[in-house]
Amino acid sequence: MAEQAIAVDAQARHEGVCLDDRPQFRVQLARPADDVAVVTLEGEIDLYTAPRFKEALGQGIDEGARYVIVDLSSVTFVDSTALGVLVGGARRLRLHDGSLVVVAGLDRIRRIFEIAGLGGAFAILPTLDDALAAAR
Amino acid sequence: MNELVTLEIPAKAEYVVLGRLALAGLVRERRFSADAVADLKLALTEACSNSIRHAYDHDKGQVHLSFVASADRVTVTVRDQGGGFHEDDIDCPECGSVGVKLSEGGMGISIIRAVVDEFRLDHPESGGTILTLTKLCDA
Repeated sequence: MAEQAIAVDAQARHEGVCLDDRPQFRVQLARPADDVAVVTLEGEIDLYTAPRFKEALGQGIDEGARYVIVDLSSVTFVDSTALGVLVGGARRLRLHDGSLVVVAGLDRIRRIFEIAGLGGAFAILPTLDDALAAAR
Repeated sequence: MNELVTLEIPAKAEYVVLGRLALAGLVRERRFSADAVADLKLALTEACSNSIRHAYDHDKGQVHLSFVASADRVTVTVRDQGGGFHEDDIDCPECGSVGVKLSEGGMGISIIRAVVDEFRLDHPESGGTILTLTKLCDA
């Protein structure tokens, strides 16, 4: 279970160790600074995998991160479930004067944000380096 | 000549990927750009997810998928026998460029409308919901 993995690997998580190695989808939570969390995803995010994404994002916020980067650079597919998780996370962060930034390199992924009218809901940057630089 | 592929999956999230795989196989030799295939996969996923979430409350029933490929288009039909949903329950005209709710869920139908060439939502007298999605082949 992903929940158990997160609880057991609390120390490993801070070192950027993978939390979920199921085929097609991986999610990783790293904390490069006290108020910064990076959620890195790989594979496809849909109704099946989005709960694990939501859990990792929620854990980063619960632990005090106020600037959360969601790195979709290695994501090949997102649907409205994934967008919903992002919107929910951004709302939670705004309540704490925080912000959520999405890293999306593929035009195909960025286009889905535009289709859904979410272009202005949070910043979408091309690289993780850009997002980390913005956090400083 | 039309070619028909059918697939029936349990109304569970883990099976939606099978619809995407079937679709990818069907369109592989057709005149679709990578973006068009991605659009169709997205629309199919949204349709299946709607059936699972709204019709069956995640874990009951079956979702019937059919794919019809012709010379100039692919039509995907997603049918369930559940309680269903209605477009009016989902669209939110004041939110976003295609009328989506900025919340978890609720974006599916709006996204489908945006990425396919033809879309139809039917509630047959026999019950359930039928979503019909058509994407034209690229020129």
